[in-house]
This record gives sequence, C-alpha cells and structure tokens, in this order.
Amino acid sequence: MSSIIEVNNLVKEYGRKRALDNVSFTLNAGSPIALVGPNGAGKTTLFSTLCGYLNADAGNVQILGHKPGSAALFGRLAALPQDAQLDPRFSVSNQLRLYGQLQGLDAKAAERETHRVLELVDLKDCYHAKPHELSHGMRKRICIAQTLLSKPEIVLLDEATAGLDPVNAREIRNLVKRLQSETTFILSSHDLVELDDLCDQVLHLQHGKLTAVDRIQEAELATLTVKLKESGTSSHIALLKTLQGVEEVTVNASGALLIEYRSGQQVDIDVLRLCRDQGWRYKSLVNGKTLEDELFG
Amino acid sequence: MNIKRTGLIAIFELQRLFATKRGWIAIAAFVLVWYAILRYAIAEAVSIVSDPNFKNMIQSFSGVVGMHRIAQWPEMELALYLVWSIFLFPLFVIFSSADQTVEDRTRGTLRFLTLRTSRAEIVVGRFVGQVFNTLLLIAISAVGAWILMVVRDPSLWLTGLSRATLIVLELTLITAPFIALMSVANHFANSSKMSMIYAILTYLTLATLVAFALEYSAYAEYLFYLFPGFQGTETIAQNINLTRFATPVLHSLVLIAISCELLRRRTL
Repeated sequence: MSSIIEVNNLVKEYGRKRALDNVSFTLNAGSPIALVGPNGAGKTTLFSTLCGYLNADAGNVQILGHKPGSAALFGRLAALPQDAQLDPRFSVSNQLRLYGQLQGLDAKAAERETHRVLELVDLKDCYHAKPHELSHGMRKRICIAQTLLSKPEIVLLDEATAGLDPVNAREIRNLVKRLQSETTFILSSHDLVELDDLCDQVLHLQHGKLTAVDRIQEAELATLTVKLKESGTSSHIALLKTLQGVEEVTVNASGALLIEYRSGQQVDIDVLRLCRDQGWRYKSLVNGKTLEDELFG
Repeated sequence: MNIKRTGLIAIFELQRLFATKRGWIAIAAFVLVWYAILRYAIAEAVSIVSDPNFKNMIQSFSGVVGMHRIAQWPEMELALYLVWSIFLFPLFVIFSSADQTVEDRTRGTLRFLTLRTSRAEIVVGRFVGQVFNTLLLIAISAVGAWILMVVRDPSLWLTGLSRATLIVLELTLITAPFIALMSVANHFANSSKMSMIYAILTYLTLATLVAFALEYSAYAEYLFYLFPGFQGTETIAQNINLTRFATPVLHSLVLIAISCELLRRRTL
C-alpha cells in the first residue's frame, strides 16, 4: 500500500496553547480515514496544515511526496474546509468551471466535470443557481462537489456533515462510500457514530496529541457489541460469560454489552440464541467495537 | 508563476465587472457620473476657455501650475478630461478595486482557490484583472470626452482619437499603483470597506507627515517619490521623462511583490 501522507513531529502553537504537539503519522491510500477528537483538539489545525492554509511551527509534512500548498498537488489534493463558502456573486457552474480550468482542464472538459460532480451530489438542477439561492445543505453539497473535480487522489472533508439534516448527512456518507475506490477520503468530525461504519483507520486527536487506531488490525480477541432494549446488567454478563469462547463481557457508557471472544470462534449465533431464550430484546448486534468504545472504552 | 492560471484569475475579475448584476449596476453608475461630468463640467468649461481673452488669461495662469502645454491642445475636451481624470481615477480605483482578496479570504473562498493555484498567482491575476477593468472603464469615459469633442469640432476626430488612446493608456498606468496599493491594504483589513479606509488614512497620514517634515528638511521632498500618483503633475505638464512613466510601473511592481509576500505568509 502506498503512503499518501507523512507527518513527522508536527508542532503548531497559538500563543501559549499548543494546538499540535509533535504529531506524527503515516497514511496509506485506501478506505476512508477518520480524524476525530473533541472540539479544540486540533483537528482543523491539522487539516489546515495538510491543505497548506497555515504553516506549522516545526515538523515536516509530505503529501504525495510534496509539501502542502505545492503546485504539484494542484488537482491531486482537494478539500472541504470548514465554513468556507463559494463566491455569492457567481453561479455555481461558473465557479466550478473556473476551478476545473485552474486544475488544468480545458474549457470543455471543465464543463463536463462540472456536470459530473453536480450529478454526483444530486444537484444538477442547481447548475445556474448562485450559492446564496441555495439552502445550507445544498451549499455544503456544492462545496463537496468542488472537491470531486478531476477525481483527486486525496479529499479532505472537515466537518462535512456539520449542521446538515440526517438525510443530507446520509447522502454525503453514501457518496464517500461510493467513491472510496478511486479517492482516499480523510474525514474530520467529532461525531463518532457518523464515522463508525465508514472508516477503518482512525486518527484520534486530543489536546494536540495523536493516537492512531487501525480498526481492521488482526487481534487475538474479537469483540461483539450487543445493544439491548435495556442497559446491560450483571445477570446479562454472567449468562453471556457461559458461552463457549467468550473471554470477557463488559458494559460500555451507553449500556451496550461488549463481548470479547477468541478470534476464530463463532459466537454471534450463540449470543442471538441466548437473547431469544432469555427473552432479551436486542436493538443491534455489531461485529466489533463502536468507534467510541475503541477510542474511549 | 503559471501564466495560464494567472490569466484565468484575471479573466474571472473581468467577469466580476462585466458579467454580474452588481458589475452592471456599477458600470451604469460610472457612466451616469461621467455623463454628468462631461455634460455639465467639461462641456461648459470648454465654451468658456475657448474664448480668446479667457484663453490668454488661462495660458498665463496655467504656466504657473504646469498646464501650458495641454492648454494649447486644440482638443480642449480631452485636456480638461485629463485634468479631471488624473485626480478622479485614483480615487475611483480605491473604491472599485477595494475587494481583491479580502472578501474571498473572510468567506473562505481563497481556501478553495489555493488548492488549485498559488497565492502569488491569485494576487497577480486579480491585480491584472483589475487593471484591465480600469482600462475599460477609463476607455468608456474617454470615448465620452472624444464624442463631446467631435460634436464641437468634427475635424479633430482623428487627432483626438490618437490622443484619447494615449490618455487612456497613461491613466491606466497612473491608476495601477493605486490598485496594487489596495491589494496590499486587503491584507490588513477584514472587509473591502475597511481596506478603503485603511488605504486612504495611511496615504493621507503619510503625506501629511512628509509635508510636515518638509518644514525641517528640503530633502524630505524626495519621500514624495514613494507615493503612488505623485508623478501626476508630470503628466499634466506633459513632460517626457522617466519619472512620468517608470515611477507608476515601479510602484506597482513593489506593491504587488509586497502583497504576494503578505498573502504567502498569511494563515487562510
């Protein structure tokens, strides 16, 4: 797998506050990558550094072998910066065409790309619209459309679904899923549920420090997360522990049961059977931990 | 610097004036203002200054202020237009080019652009676009002055046309440093209005300080060479020298270089 982003000992300070504290990581091309952390953790600072919007105080960043902001990255790296807006005086198509042409497309190709990306975000009817004539959700989708021009290798989406209704948010998640084979998405968000089923690799930032979590890493113990109608209790734990292969059962902060079992064992059918026999009504059975449990469990 | 990308940015600036509703309103207002100046100030003035007695008087007076050459032009409308324009257009471009990067920066649009073009290309492209916008607007007003002259004396149409063309080019050259100045001012403000205020305040404050310094040292006069537009008197006097033509070019280049550097260092 080829490395697309390499960050070494990145430091960024705002006055006395250290927003990024010796952050180092390497990201490979492939499935979407989550950049998570609470508000003020340094997500947007890291994101802005990767895009070349701000210069780090120390450290080194290489994106596809080039420095952020380098001309070699034009058209190869695209981004949806948080709260950035298109120019309200020009139509959506006018601006997308300009962006396409700046990326090296000729006028006709830029026109075709504009139609293609607007169709991808299901807004082909907004071709002639000006940004201020659109709703918040539509504007956000248009801004996502600009990231998809010319099929860049890396797309960074900073809080792509913030402020969107569930339907629009789901549309964006579906779009990322659909395009993940051709583009590596890096999604920044503090909504863990949203990133849960999208991302296999997670960068967790807290107080400017980073921990990387590889969610598909082979582990000795596997986990099932069972969410019952009621919160898990000691009697649930005791009965689940009697199942063959189960090593440990705990209850997480939201009351779901985390069943750890030896990898290779088939525990899920036994768990479902136990639920039926005991009359436990379950809401969900997830293979693995939720992202929240992985990070904070 | 990539010429193609810079050109695309410049052309987009032309569209901002000539292909948007707000741009058309601005052009309409510009045309109306110049109609009023040409019809009620310049046309009236021509009828007065064409009187031989008045002409002799103004000749002796204009020599003092360096206008003796343009006062002899048979194309009087163009002479008066030049004098008006030298003072009006620098002021006008401070308003018309007040938003080169500032609104895009505060809105976040520059973040979309900087992933596709360099910051220097944005600064230079916007500057070039604004210079062309200004050239076209100056041309519109100059055509008005030319028409006024042809209506009075049709025989002057050809000499007037070549003189008007040279005036348009020189006025564009004169206004270019002011456009570059606004490009710099954009980096210190958070809106186009604040950019205008900063630019005007800074210009007037520094000019006042230099005038004050002149009280103590005659050498302070050289500081005026740093001010965009100071060579306007050379144009009115129609002196052919390096100061008249090279200074605005030099001012523009230095100011645009400063603007590029400021945007390069800036967090977006």
